[in-house]
Amino acid sequence: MSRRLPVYVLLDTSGSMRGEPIQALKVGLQSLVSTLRQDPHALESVHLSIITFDAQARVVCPLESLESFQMPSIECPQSGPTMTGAALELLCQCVDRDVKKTTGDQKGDWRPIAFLITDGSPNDTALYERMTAEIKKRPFASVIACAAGAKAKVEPLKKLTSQLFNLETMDSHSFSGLFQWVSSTVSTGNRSMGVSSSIVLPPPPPEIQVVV
Amino acid sequence: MILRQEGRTIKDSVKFVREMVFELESRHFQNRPHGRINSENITNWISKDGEFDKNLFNHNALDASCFRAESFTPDVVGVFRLSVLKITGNEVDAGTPFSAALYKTSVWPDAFLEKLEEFSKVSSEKHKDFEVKDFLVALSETPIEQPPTVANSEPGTPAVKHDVSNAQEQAPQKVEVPKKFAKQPISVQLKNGTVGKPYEYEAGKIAKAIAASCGDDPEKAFIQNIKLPEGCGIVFDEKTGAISGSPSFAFEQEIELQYFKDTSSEARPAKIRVLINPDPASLWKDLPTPSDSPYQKKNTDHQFLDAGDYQVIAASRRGRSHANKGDFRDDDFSLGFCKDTGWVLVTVADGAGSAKFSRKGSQLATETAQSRLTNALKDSKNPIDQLIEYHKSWDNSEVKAAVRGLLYEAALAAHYKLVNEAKSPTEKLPVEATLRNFDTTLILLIMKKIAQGTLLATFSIGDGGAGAMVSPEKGLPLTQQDNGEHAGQTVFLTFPSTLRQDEQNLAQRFHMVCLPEFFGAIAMTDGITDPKFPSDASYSEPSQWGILWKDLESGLSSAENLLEWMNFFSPGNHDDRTLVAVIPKKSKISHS
Repeated sequence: MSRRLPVYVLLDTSGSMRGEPIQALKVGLQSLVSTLRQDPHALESVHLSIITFDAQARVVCPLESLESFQMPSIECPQSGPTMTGAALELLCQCVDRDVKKTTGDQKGDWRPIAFLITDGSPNDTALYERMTAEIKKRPFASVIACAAGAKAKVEPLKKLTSQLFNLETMDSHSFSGLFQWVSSTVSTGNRSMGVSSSIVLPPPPPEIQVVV
Repeated sequence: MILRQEGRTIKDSVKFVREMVFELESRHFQNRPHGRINSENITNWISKDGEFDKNLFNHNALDASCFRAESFTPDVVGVFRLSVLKITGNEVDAGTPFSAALYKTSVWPDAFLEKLEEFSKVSSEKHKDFEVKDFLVALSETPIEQPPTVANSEPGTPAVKHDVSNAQEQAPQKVEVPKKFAKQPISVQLKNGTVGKPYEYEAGKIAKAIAASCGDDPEKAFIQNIKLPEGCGIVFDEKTGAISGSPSFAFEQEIELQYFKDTSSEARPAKIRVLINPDPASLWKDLPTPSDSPYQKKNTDHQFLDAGDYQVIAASRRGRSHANKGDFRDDDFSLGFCKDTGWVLVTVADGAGSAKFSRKGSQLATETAQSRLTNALKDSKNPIDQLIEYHKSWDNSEVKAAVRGLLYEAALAAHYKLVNEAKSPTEKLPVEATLRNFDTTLILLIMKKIAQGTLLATFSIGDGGAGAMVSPEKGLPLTQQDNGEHAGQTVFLTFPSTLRQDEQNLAQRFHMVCLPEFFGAIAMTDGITDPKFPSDASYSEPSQWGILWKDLESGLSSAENLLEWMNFFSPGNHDDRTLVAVIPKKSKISHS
């Protein structure tokens, strides 16, 4: 079996995403999958998992090869908190369980990539703080966070990653731009690099602002 | 009664909900998932006589292709919490959980509503103190005769009651199951296929899934008239109900079919969704490299070198993953032969895919190390040969130290060459360069025939590898690969730590052997080792080298053929490939 490139997509499904934003997000996600399916290297190596978080974090799609991946249905509750910390905790559990390390008898997977898209700020701040430290202990090649919409708070995300981006509007155009860029990032994830280096991200499209 | 499906209505909503909650609780208790509990789904669980159909529910809940198992909520109390939220006046649509069904019900027992009120007044942390069975008991009480309305509610009536009645006035328009949903044909998602890989979707599975979601007998149901795209390679067998074949092109489509709940009933439209992936092998593009980039490099390279007692055959090829993006080949090699002393020098390097100018890094590293070694070994008075002659043996600590020192210096020279290139680039670069832009691995192999046999010494930094054949069936690894915990993690010549002068570091990078029987030596980058040695254990396994050697046979007849051989296909392994083979001239493998 060839080495897998695990890609975790964490989606904020809290109440504020309800309506157009979540629909746009779903369309974007679908286009990400379709684009990656046209990349032979991705088709052979990318494994995708979707985690959603609102009042609860759940794995709506466990790690699955791009070949057999089927889009899960993603719903938003009416209202409620954004448990970003719980989502990161779940991500750590998934990575610890899923991602194979090199042993005498097997070659390890590629280092995983995580994308987090949120339109708010974490409500479970204590857990969130703890988990940003835990994430750093995991072998991620890249953790990319995207603050979407006017209400998204950038400050908490800075603790999670330096690869931080801002999406001003949450319409299908912005999200498809974002996911096109995500797919080009994923396509660079399966190449050799130093033990601890991060992947170099391709330049983002104009609708996405780099947060410094 | 508001909830309808195919003319079915809930006879007694309290009883219906109670039984559904019982069933939910038992599933949760067993830690089993169920589908989303909302009004859309609830309509599917109404039996012919208006009751809650337990079997139908369990059937649906189990069939993830029909109902995605979404809710893993471990507490049923959560369901009640949601219902309180809804009853207290938020908008509701058909996709709203469970409570939507509660909403539409006209009559609730007082005890149940009181319990809900109590529940809604405490903070959410205390919700776990509520027992589901208390709600169930409350539900079992005799329902009140008349639906409460704003008009006949009296002062002092619990707030929840008011809310319920208010909600009822607003709810119906919003809660009504959309007509398009009720009429919409049921759609079943089939597992994905891939062009060229055999596909099989078991007989009857589609009919059973549709039957389950319609509440029909899955044993009697069948389907007909699936119109799969013409010439797509997979066919529907009308007799067995299976879909099978070998997909010939990629598509993603929703396909209509006719569903019959039994032989005596009329056809009903339904749909399947099918996704066939393209064959990855067909997607590779061979894009040219940009002509305006610095550090131009040919996509392939090959060389044949007549080296005294040996023949050296080398080839290097841009990997599919690089060609697909129009990236340069990052691998390189450089060969040398000292005709006065008989030393053969082989260097191979793999520039890191993640480093911008690694193609130059690998080229400089191989050239620098090779020329350094050639200079040190070309003269018959060179210290290594003199030491071997003096000791009449290679197996001596002085000889080993000298050889290791020489190889180390060559690697160090290559490292400094990269440092200098980063500082003052030999070509005009669009950005300021850093040493890490030139990340590359490096494998050095030097060998010559001596009295005791063939002497081979290696020094390696990074992945890839080198080995020697002691028989046509068995080989020995001559390097230790620097593999990280994860794929693609390795170390590079650009890391000062790899050239640290401590015994442990140098000992793992250096190997020296003398083989009385020698059939050939190979040095290669990870584009070859990854597909040919699937694990660290197999890299140390002599017979695995034998397999590679046999595999290589056709390639070793010429450098051109080696380049051709290198084009082999191995899923997930599409990196640049470089291989150098050194074969004794008397070997059975003939050279044209």
